[in-house]
Amino acid sequence: MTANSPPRPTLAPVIFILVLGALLPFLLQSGFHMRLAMLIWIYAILSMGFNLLYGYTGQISLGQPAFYAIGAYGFAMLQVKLGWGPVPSFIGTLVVCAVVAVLIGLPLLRLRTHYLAMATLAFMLIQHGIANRWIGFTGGQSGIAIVPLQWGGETIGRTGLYFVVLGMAAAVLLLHDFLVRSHVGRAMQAIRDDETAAAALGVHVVKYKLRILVLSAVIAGVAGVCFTLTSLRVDPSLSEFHVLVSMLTIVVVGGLGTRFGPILGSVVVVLLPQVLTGFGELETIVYGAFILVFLLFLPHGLSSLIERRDFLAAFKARKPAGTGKEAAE
Amino acid sequence: MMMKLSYLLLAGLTNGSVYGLIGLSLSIIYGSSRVINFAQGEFVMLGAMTAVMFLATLALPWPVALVLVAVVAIVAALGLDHGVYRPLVRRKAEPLTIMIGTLAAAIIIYGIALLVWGPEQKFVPPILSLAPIRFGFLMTNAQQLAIIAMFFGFLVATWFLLYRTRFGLSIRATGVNPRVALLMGIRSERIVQFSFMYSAFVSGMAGLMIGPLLGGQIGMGLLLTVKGFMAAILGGLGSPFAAAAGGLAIGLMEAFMAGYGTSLYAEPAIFVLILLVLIVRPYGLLGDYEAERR
Amino acid sequence: MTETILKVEGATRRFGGLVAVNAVSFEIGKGMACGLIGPNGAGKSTMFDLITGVRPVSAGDIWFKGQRMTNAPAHARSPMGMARTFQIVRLFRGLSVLENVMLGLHPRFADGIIRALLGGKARAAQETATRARAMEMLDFVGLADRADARIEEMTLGQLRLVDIARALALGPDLLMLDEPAAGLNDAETDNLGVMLERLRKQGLSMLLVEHDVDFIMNACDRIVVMDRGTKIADDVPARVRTDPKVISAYIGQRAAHAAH
Repeated sequence: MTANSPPRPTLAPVIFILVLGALLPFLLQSGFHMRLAMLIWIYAILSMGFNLLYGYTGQISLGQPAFYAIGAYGFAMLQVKLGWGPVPSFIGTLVVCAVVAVLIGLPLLRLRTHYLAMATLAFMLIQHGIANRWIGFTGGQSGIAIVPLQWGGETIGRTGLYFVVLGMAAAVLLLHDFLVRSHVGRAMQAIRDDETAAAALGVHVVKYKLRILVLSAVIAGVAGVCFTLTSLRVDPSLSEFHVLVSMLTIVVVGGLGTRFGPILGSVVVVLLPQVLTGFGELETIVYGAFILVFLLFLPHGLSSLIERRDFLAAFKARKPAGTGKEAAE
Repeated sequence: MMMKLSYLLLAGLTNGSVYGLIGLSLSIIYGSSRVINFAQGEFVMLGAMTAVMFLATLALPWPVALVLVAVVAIVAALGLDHGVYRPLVRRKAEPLTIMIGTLAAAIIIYGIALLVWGPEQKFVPPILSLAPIRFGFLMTNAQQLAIIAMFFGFLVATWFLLYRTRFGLSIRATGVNPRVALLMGIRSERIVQFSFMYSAFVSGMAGLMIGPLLGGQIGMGLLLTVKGFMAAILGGLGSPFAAAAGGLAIGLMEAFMAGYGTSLYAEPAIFVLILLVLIVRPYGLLGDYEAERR
Repeated sequence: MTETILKVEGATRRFGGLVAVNAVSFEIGKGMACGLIGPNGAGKSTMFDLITGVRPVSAGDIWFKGQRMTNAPAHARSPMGMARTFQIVRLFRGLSVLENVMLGLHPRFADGIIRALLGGKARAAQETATRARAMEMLDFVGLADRADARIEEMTLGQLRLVDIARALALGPDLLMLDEPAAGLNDAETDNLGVMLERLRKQGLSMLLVEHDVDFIMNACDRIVVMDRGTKIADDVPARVRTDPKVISAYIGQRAAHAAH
């Protein structure tokens, strides 16, 4: 008689998060709060892409902000320079992100850990340099402005825009969640933990790394498109260092390689500066200390406090270890 | 013609020396701990800014100021080691997590500097004269010459330290295999602590010397860290000397690209070049197989 | 001899000037348990890596089920029916025990992310079937109640069994075990022996690399002995045990140890 397999994670928390997100516009009053809410989703999208790549597959790319910027610029430029509509521009932008990711990934994914981190950082700096300096192409410091999104001849209002962003975030969240709970997610984690053993079990390591890099670039592109939609302007600050720092902070605070870490993390990281303004001049120090405290005392992030599995594990660990020894004797 | 060449050559060598010293510092820390230190440029910034404080604000004689600058850099390094590196290693954090930890440390150091010096650019008083000196067609000044001399001085000192002292042998052994080194009776925590202190000293001195030429601003650290990374990657992170050579190369390329091409694209062009090098030689121009073993 | 499942022909591996494996040939018949032994530095582990594709051969050929797989990448070998375990247990720390075993069935899934997304009900059904099969495997090694445990909560003996369950999940034609008894206590070694005996009775072909000579003598039908990169014996256990070349190889090693 085969024992019952342990329960599988359900979609319930995903639905809970999305319902909460859908209720938000009715709870928030000011436009400022709505902008913060949209920013939370945008950073959550960006960080989910990074979480798939680094948290689950173990491949660090510091170049994610570059794809974020490429997504934002692509969406603006296809509309402004080529006169494409928003939907074709959106699709075209994601294709551009994917193609650039393949071109970058093919040579760079041979590199490991720090070398991969540094090389992708160089890629981000190249992108930033082009955005900043090729003024004829990118508009330089002043960037490019686009017209607001329209529906049936009318400009979509702030609440409508919020739901567009929420829709994108929902799509990415569902994709993220589906992947990490599927055989693809298992293969990704296998690559992260031990490439040789993963290959021995039939996982095509090189192919999977490239696929996930491309996917995370496309997801970063989606975040970039959302940014353009909400701010109506793109400029080089999209791939500035602070975006990278925010993204890293989000995954660390939320929990690397966890299902909801990116969302929890971006809630904290977007709202934190609002709280920290009370610290005045100490803001920067507190921000740095905050990351450090998480790294030291909550290395698996806020998720480890919430996710059931970790709870159970912590509970089991407290019980005297019995089953293990009995089986061995 | 010759004036311009001379100017570019010396500017390139001067900046390249600083990049090279940061690359060398990064490589020493990487060698002993397998960690990339995102706060390395902050030590350079501390060097430049404390020079402002000790030389200009407090008007101390330069030998005293020099010692105090070194003390500040080393204290900051000890803080990084005891406050970030050790606690994370004891909690068995991955090297990349520790790298994020050093990034947090860089933010904290920047935050402290913001409190002390504010965001404005400061004039850093030079120790040596900025009056022009002529060698044939070469136009330079004492400060530039001192920076280049310091670069080679630190190269020799580092070589002596690594290959001619028992301590250096321990550093190299720890880099190859910390576990085995521990069995041989080498306390790797002490080695890492020393490598943090030494590299902070090197970078702090670089900051003290380059400050008068670059100007002192608390945000200067990040770009210098990145240039140091690129130096280390171009030359090879596995060897402090390769990393130093990489810095010199970047400094010269930057100067000549800005001088003869367009200064607008000098920086992106260098990053493209570095990416190409990484693609052809994944462990740097002078790097070896060593790096493959994480 | 019955049908051949694995054929190694003149396999050679050089590392710079060092020849770790020198023109070694042997065959494993279907349903046979073959041992690969030899003193330290004999080239057993390298031989294992060559067969599993972790390292390429410098010369020679590897045939599996009549197909030449000399140059097949490592990830292409498990779907063909070649499964392996690792000497240093290499389970994935981020996954539960059950998920580790489920990874053994990875090649059954359609390849690629988009195919996974469009898989719909068929994929969901396959996921369920994969879970069930993985639970069966855990049940077989007696660890079904530990399915949800984390890797760091398990003992070394249990981890070896999980590794075997993972390798068995795909229903391989050849199971390759790299020093399965290393580091186990007597009780755990006996338990492992019982497990392998059951697999052997089911007709599974096996290749065992082992240090523990007594263990391998009981567990195998045939034994290949390597010394300093070359094959010095290839016979049934009883004759290998008395082979003077084998004895001198092992004694030579002991003498070398004594000299240290």
